[in-house]
Amino acid sequence: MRRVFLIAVLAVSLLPTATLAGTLGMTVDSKDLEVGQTTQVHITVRGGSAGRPVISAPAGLELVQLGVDKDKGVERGRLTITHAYTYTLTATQPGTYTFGPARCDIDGQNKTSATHTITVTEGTGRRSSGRTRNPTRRSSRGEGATGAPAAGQRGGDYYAIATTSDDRPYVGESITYDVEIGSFLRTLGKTSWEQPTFSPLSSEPGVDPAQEERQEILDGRRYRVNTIRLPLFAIEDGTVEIDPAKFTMTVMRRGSGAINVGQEVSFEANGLRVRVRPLPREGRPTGFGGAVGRFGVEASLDQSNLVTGGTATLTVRVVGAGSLRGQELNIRLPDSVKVYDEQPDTRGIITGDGLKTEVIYRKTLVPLQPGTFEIERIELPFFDPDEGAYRTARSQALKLTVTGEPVVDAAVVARSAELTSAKEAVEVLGTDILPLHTGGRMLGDARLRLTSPLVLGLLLLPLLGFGGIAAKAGGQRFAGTEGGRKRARGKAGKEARTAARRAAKDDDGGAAEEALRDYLSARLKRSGAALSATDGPDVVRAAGAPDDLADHLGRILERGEAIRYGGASARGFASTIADWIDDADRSWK
Amino acid sequence: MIRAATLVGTLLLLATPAAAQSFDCPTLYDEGDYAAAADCFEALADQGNGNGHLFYNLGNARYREGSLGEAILGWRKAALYLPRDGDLKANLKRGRDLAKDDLAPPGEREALARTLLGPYDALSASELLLVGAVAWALLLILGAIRFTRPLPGWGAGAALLGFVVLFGLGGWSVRSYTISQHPDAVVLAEEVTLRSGRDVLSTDLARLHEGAEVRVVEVSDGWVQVALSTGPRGWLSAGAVGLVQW
Repeated sequence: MRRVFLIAVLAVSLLPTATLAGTLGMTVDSKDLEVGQTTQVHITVRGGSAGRPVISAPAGLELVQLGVDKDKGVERGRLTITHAYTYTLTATQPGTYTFGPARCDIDGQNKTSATHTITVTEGTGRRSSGRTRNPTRRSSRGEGATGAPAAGQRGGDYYAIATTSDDRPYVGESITYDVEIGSFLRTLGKTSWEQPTFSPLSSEPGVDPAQEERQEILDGRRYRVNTIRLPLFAIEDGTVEIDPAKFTMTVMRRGSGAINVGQEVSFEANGLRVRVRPLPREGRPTGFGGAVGRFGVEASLDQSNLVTGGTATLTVRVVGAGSLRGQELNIRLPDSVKVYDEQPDTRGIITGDGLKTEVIYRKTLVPLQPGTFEIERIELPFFDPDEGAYRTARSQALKLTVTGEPVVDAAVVARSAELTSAKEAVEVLGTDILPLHTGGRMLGDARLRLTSPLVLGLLLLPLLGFGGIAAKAGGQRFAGTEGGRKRARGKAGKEARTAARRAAKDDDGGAAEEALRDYLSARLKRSGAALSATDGPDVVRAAGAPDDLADHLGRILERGEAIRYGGASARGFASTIADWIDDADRSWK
Repeated sequence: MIRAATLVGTLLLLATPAAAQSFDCPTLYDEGDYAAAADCFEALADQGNGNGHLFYNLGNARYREGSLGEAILGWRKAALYLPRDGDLKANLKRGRDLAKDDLAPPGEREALARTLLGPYDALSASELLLVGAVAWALLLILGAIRFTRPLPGWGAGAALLGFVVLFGLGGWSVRSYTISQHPDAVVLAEEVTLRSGRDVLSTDLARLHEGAEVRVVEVSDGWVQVALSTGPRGWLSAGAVGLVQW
C-alpha cells in the first residue's frame, strides 16, 4: 500500500513536467509564392528557459527576422514563457524548397519543428504606369546581386522602374521622366545612376530634377523608395527610344556569422518608348511662338501717373504648366514712350503635376510726351495639349497718364534709365581661402585667465585700495558718534592707567599726576587739567563717582598742589595715584 | 639698460623652439608642403601658443592639405580668440560651404538675439574678462575717490560700470563654462554614424560627414553625445570628432 502511494505521489509530481514540456512550432502564411513575393513565417517557442531558434533558408528563399513578442504566464504552478518570432520569407528563384526545420534548446532539450514545402513559380510582376510602354528588357544583374527582379518590376531586394508622365506628348510639351528606385536592403552612401540618352527630347534648362524619398510596404516588406523626376521637352515629332537607366549602389547583406557586409550591386530600369506628336496646323493663331501647356498672363504698372521723363516699370507675369523657353511677348506701346527691356526672369519647378513655369518680363517705360496712353491687352497664344486645341491667354489693358512738358533731350532720359537697368551681376571666377597671418602675431598665449597677473592686478589692487580708504573713512565717521567718543575715552583711560602704573614704578609723582588728569579727562568728557583740590571732588561726584572716591581725589589733588608749590615730599605719591585709578575703575561705573 | 634688456629678451625669444619653428611654418606653407606646415603649426600650439592667428594658419594649412574637418576645427578654435577677424570669417564660410551636410552651425542665433547679444558674440572670452576687470577696477577707484570728495553723476556712472562688470565677468563665466563643458565639435571623419547609444549595435540615427558642426552634450567612455542644430541628439565615436576648445 505504501509503495503504491509513493508511486502515485511520484507520478503526480512528474505530471506538470510532462505536460508542460517545451514546445517549438513553425507556421508559414503562404506556401505558394511567385518570384519576388514575400510571406511571413511564425516560430513559437514555449517553455521555461529557451534559447533563440535556429533556422536557415535554402538558396532561392531569403529569410529576414522581423521581430519577437514575449509573453509570460504561470501554468500549473510553473512559469511559462512564450516567444513568438516573426520572419519574412522572400522567394528569389523558382523551384520547390523544403523549408525548415527550426531547432531550439528548450529547458535543456533540443526541440525540432516540422518542415514546410514552399513552391516558387516565375512571377508576372507589376506593370509600370499605363502611360508608358511596358519594360522591354530584363535587368542585367550586378556581380553577386541576387535580389533584383526583372527590369521595370517592383520587388526583390532592390528595383528600378522608369516611366514618363506622358508617352504621347506634343512637340514643345513638357513631360517628366520618372525613376523609382526601391531597396528592401539597407544601403550605404548614395545611389549613383547613369542617365539614358533622351535625344531628341531635351532637358529643361534651369530646372533641377525633383527628388523625394519615402517608405513603402510592398508584399509585406518595407522598402525605401527614391523617386527622381527629370523635366524633358519634346523638340521634334517622331518616336523616341529611351534606353534603360543604370544604377549602382552598395547594399548591406548578412555575411558569414552575424556581421553585415556591404556589397556593390548594379541594376537597370526598363527602357521606354515615347511618341512625339506634331502640333496641329488647324486653328494655329497668329503670333503663336510654340508655347505648349496651360498659361495665364498678368500685367501691371508700378505707377500709372507720372511726369514726362520719369520712369514706370511694366511687369508682365506669365505663369502656367508647361514650357515657355524662348517665348517672346508682343507688347505694343505708344511711339512717344521710350522702352528699355530687361532680361526675362524665368523660374521652373517640378511638381507632382509636372513642370510649373513662371516668366516675368519687365520693361522700363519713359514717356516723352504728356497725355494718356493705353497699353493694350498682352496676348500669349498657346497650345493646350489636354484639349488638343490652341488658346490665347490675355492680360488686362493698362492706362498710363503723363503730365508735364515734352522732353526734348531724349538721350538724357535714356541714359538715366540705362543706368538703372544696365547693371550686371558680378561674375564669380573662383573661390579660395585668404592667406596666412604672418609675423610674430601667432606666438604667445593670448588667452587671459583669472590668474593672469593683469587680471589679478585689476581685480585685487583696486579692491585693497578701496577697502583701505573705506575703512579709514568709516573710522572717521565712527569717531564723531557717541560710540566713537566712548571708545576714545576708554582708550584714553586705559593709556592713563598704564602711564600711572609706569610712574608708580618709577616713583615719578609728576608723571603720575599727569596720567591722573588724562584719566579724568577721559572719564569726565572735559579736560581734567584744570581740576583743583577744591572743585575736583564735586566734579567727579557729579559724574557718578562714589563719595569716598571723590574725597580721596580731593586729597590727592591737594597733595599734588603741596608737592608742586609747598615742597612736600613726593614719595609714594605716584603709587597713591595708581591705586586711586584702580579704585576708580572698580567703583566708578 | 632698457636697450640691453630688450636685446637679451629678443635673443632669448629667438632661441626658443617655438620662435624658431614659427618662422619655418609659413615657409613650409609657401613651399606647398601643407601637411608639414600643419604639423608645424600644431607643434607650436602644443607648446602653449594659445593664439588665434596660429589656429587660423593651422586651419589654412589643413584646408590646403585637403582635410576639411580639421580645417574647420582650426578656424573654429581661432574664432575663440579672434571673433571679429574678417579673414577668419571668410575662410570659415568657405569651409562651411564645402561641408556636405546641410547643417547650420550650433548656436546660430535668430535676428533679434543676434542684435541683442552682438557685443557678447563680438568679444572673445579673454576680452570679456578684461572688460569686466577694467570696469571693476574703475568702479572701485571711483568709489574710493567718492569717500574723499563728492562725485557728480556717481549713481548713474556706478550703475553703468556695474552693468559692464556683470556683462564682462558674467559673460566670461558663461563662455568659459560653455567651452569647457558643452563645446562645439567638428566631424573629422569622412563619414560617421550618429547612433542612439554608446555602442555600434544601437540604432543608426543619421550619417554625418566631414566638417559637420555639432554641440557636445556629454562625453563618456570614448563616445560623445551631440545635438544637431536641427534637433536630434545621438552618440558619435569620440575619435571621429574634434572639440572646439582652448
